[in-house]
Amino acid sequence: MIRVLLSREIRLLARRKSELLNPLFFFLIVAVLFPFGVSPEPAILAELAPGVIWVCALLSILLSLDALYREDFDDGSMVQMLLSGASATAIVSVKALTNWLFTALPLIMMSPLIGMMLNLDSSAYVAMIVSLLLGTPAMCLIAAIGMSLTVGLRRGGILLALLVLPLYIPVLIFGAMAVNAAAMGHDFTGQLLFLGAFSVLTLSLAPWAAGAALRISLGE
Amino acid sequence: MYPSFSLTGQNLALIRGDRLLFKDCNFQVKSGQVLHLKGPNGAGKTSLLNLICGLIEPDQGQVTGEFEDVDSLSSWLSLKTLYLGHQLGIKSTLSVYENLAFYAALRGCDRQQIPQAISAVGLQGYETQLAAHLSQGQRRRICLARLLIENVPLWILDEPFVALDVKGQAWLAGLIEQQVERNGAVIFTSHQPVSLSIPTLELSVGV
Amino acid sequence: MAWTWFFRLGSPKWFYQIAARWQPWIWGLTAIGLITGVVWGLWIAPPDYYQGDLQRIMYIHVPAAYLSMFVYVVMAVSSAIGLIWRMKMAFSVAMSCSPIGAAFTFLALVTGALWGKPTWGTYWVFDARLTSELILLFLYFGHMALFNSIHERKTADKAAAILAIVGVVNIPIIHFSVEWWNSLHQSASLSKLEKPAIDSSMLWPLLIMIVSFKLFFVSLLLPYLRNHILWRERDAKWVEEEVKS
Repeated sequence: MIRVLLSREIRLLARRKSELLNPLFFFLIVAVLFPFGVSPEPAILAELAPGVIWVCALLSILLSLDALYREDFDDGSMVQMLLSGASATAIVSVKALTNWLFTALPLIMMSPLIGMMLNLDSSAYVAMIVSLLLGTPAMCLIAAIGMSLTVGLRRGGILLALLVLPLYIPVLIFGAMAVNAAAMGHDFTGQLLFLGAFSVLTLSLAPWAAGAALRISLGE
Repeated sequence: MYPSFSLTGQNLALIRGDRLLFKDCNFQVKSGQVLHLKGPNGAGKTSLLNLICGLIEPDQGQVTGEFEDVDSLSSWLSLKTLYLGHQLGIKSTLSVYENLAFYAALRGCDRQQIPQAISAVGLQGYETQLAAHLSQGQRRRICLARLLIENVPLWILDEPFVALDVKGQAWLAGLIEQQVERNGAVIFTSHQPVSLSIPTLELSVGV
Repeated sequence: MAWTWFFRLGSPKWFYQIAARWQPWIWGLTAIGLITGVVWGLWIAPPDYYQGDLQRIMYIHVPAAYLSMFVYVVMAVSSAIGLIWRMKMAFSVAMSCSPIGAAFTFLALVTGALWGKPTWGTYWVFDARLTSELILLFLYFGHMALFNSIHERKTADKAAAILAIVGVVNIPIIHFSVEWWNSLHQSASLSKLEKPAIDSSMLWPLLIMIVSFKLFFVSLLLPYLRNHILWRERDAKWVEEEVKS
């Protein structure tokens, strides 16, 4: 069933290839706002870089999930899937997986570019990529919970951010701190372990919560 | 022939927003029966269908079922029911064939039946057309094709005769009769009068 | 026996009437507790060695912070009860807790800022406790916002309930993360805001204040809840009779 749902998501995305680029440009643009708003001085940028990259990744993942849910909800496909043998948990898990594969992974691949623009210390690149790899699954799953809760609302975007961003704070703290530690030459395995553990915890609990939330939203 | 089953609703009441839609609603549908929900627009027919499907919970009363092959009502409703409502669930960027193949795969049905079904609803030649290029009526017919492909014992149809011409209505009536012959069941709503050559249970919905 | 009481509690009408009888007693106890605690804490207890009388804010700040989390837990537990046992009353409790909990959180933040100004020279610092309280305030706001955005009440109840449960699982994680984050950037003066190694002359009034705040929460909750029940059940006959009398 996961395979059927996933291949459908991929097929739908393939018909809208240009939309895949949107989150990436968003990531780039918001990251670039910081030198404009703060200072273009390399030393200052280097200090900001870990946090800025993490915050931008966070926002991009959150906003890109809407595209995966909106149309399916509006045209009744979600209800149909639920009543055609797919469980709510499977539906949300596949959407979170799609979000991770087609937004988070490209983002991670683009992060060295942003790192270079923000003068990230060269010793921190590995930490940045690994921390993003470990933290993005949790972010996609938490976003799925928020999205499932707000998909029925007409202007759910801001509310979605309000609900999900506080829950993102632990991932942000440990992710950015991992990159910071690496930039300063310290050991960062502790932070990575936390990120991994948090992602595993989220993986075990979030699909259920998001599935329950989706059933509730569809019932409205 | 489908294994026997029965679906019973007892003392159902539903409030949506601040309005009481219906109360003391009772029905029973067994395999081989057709239930026609009647009532004016806004009476709550669609809400009752949603309730039967398990999408909404009643404010009072319950829906129970007895089946031979599946344990719980919710999994039976998901696996053994086909719900066609106002929202079609057809993706515009997928072709007619792809839309049908998806639902067939989800339900584990044989894909070989798809070309025949597409012809039966009058969409032959449109298999690879994206649904976006079809008219609303043609898209509804894609949904009707699902009735032919996915073999499920219970059909729940919300206003299926609307937007069909006389020939189409007769064709659908024939489909319903065939479903009954297979020991399946059909629950449908219609605010127009409908004539089927088989006995139909009727329920008027509303306060 | 205990179970019947539990399920009776789920009846809004029964709760409304019982709560009416308990209310005056709870209010009385709360008043006694608060007055005792305030007088003891703000006048009788000895001043702190380093901070002097300023430190007395602790008698309000610490109970407020403690309550802000206690109320969230109550909210999450009643949300879970509502989802599992399908009790409308449980959802009413959860929705009523939200604004009260947010108020306690806000109180903790304000008293924290007032405490901080003379100590650090600024109203706001990203100290571990204050930051956690701020995030908790966001969680409360999110909960209230979600509940108020959904038109269908049954759906709103259940959606907010799921959010409350997801939140409560995250709160310890958020706490731990913020403490750790803060410890990296800690400077010595910030530790003043943490609970000091506490002498019994200060401990007693603090405990009394904590218990009184708990009673205060219940005394706020009961009328709020009774009001909420009247609104929810406004189509029921017993409500008509109640309002007429």
